[in-house]
Amino acid sequence: MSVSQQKLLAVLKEKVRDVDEATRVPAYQAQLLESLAQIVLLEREHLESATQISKKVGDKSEALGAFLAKEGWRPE
Amino acid sequence: MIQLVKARFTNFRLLRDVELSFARDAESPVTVIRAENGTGKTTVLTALTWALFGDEGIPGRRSGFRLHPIDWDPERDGASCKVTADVTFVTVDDESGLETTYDLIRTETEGFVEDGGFTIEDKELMIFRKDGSGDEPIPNPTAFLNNRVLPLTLKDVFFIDGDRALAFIETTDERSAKRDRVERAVRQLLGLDILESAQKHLDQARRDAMQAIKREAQGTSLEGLTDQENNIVIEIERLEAEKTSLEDDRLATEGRRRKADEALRDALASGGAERKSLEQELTSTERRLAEERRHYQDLIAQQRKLVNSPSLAIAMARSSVVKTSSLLASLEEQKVIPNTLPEVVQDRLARGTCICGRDVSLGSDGHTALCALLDDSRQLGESQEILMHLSNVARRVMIDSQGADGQWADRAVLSQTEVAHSRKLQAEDEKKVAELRARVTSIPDRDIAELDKMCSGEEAELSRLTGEIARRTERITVRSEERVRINRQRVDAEKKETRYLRRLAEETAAIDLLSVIAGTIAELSGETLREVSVKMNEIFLNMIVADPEQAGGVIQRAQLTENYDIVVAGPGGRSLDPDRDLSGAQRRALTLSFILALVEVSGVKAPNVVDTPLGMTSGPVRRAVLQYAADHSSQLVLLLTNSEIAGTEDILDKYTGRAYTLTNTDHYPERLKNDPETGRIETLVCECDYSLACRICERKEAM
Repeated sequence: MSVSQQKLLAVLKEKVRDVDEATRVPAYQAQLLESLAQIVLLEREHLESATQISKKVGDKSEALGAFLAKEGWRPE
Repeated sequence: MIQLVKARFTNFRLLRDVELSFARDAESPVTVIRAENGTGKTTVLTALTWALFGDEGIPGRRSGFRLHPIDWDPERDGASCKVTADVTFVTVDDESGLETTYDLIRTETEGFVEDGGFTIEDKELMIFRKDGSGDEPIPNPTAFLNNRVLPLTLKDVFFIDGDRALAFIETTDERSAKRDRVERAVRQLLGLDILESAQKHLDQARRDAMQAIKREAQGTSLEGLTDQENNIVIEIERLEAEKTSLEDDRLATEGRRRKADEALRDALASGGAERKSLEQELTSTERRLAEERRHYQDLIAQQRKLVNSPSLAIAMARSSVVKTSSLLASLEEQKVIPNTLPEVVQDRLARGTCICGRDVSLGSDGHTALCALLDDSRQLGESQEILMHLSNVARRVMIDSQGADGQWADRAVLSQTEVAHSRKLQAEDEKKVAELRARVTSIPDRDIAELDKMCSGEEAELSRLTGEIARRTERITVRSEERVRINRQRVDAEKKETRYLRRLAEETAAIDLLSVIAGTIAELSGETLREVSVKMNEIFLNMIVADPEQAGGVIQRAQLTENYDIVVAGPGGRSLDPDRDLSGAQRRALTLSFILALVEVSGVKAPNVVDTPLGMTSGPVRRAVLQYAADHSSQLVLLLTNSEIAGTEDILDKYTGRAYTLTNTDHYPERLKNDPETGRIETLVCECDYSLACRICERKEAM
């Protein structure tokens, strides 16, 4: 994103660090941040033109869940 | 970061053919476009926003906003007017510094109608990525602009019409309207709208995951099915082991049976069969001999009975017996011998009828007569008794022998024949038995029966083992089928559990995403909003601090509240009304402070294009505003009038990388010294900076 919303991304990054990776899976924080960046982009696209935003965001969330499951995450 | 490189506008209102390049140097980021009122400053601003945002970039409704020059003559200039904006810009990766150049070309063609109106005939937007190998068209350029370059939501923050920007603080509108504008600007630049929208959609994703979890959680437990399958596997293994053991046993038994069979065959082959056969024949012969002996005894008994029969006397001495009988009958007639037959009489008395058929029943005359005879016979002497006995015997023999004279002899002959035959058979059998015994004795005694028994035993064992094996095989088959079924259920349950875990992971992911977004929203709308407020106050005070009018410290603080109100506090924290208590310069400074603070805190780096930023300002405030804006912009395009420039030349000298002067040909001859000689109303561009004037831009009034 050329005009990146630096503050937004900085705060997202900071808040992602609050998620305890030890209770998830390795590299989860990076994946979580990437998912959030993609969701922000999708939401921005949605502002421009109507998209199936609910499904697309749901897909991103599911993909993050799939990453968790694939990496062997189990509920405590 | 995005930077404008150059822009060329064709037939955009006054901008018939205008090309501008923009300063991009970090040390000299300012482009000054000098233009007097009515010359085209706002048109340049609008042309840029139209180029980047299309219809959204023009004020009001597109249908009421012509793009073509006002003096366009369809007969002279053409039946339609093609309006073009060609803007070159670069995007710079914040981290790598990698720069990418794009060329944006937006065109619209307007037609003309008789009443002076216009129609929009054609629209087109193209963007090309420029690199060493050529221009690569960008698919879906509108989305690219909005998503990758500069979102529409940021238009009013980065492209500022100084007068219109005052709407953030001026009270020409309702308080709520101002607040909405501020809130919208803050929310757009900080991305709060996007986050809240994402929050809503992620919450839906979380609810979907929860529903899925409820669905997947139902059904047979995997643990139970696994236990069942394990138990079946254990049982099958046990059955297999038993079967194997039984098969081993059967194999061994088959071996033993083979050996027993062989032994039996050997035994039979070495005489056992003959001995067995002889023994059977001996037994049979002995049995037959015994029977014959019993038969012989019967024959002898019959013969003995025949010999003792009275018929023998008749057969042997018939004439003597007849003669004696006649003699005795004569003696009876002579009464020498009582003609009584005590035994016969007694017999007849018992029967009730005489031999002659006379009634001798009790009370009858015959009975009385016979009783008298019996009494007489008991009075006889010894010789008479002997004679009477002989008479009785003779009479009985005669009676018994009547009609059987030849039978006794026949029977005697037959009996004798049978006896002789029996004796012959016995003799033969006795001889045969003796021979068989001799032969049996001569054959070695092998235990055929035992071998037979052994074979039978092994056969029975084989049969038992085969049955056991069949039972286990059947059980294994049944349990294996059951295992397949349970396994299928378990696999299904595993899949279900996998799906369940996957759903749990999805719910967890959604919760994490929501958690991060909620935290970010809280941070941005709380801490970051306060940060904007602090920064705005800092800029604002910095801009107005040198204002002699504020020497008394009337303005103490500017603040952006949590409710998105921009408020100014005076001495003692007393709230000041920006509309009444602030000067025009202060209001403009406050507006720019808010925008610059918002841009700085948000970290968004894009060109700030500001039309008439210094209007209504003067002296130190003007300089402070300019100084701060130049210091804190990555690229600043200022559309200034001469009066705005006045007193700031030294600052402009320091920060300006590019400078242009716009001239409206329509201002000749009233305000322009020289005839532009274009023959039409348009904006001309020269490269005169704010301190120069050329033949094009030289004005009658002092610059």
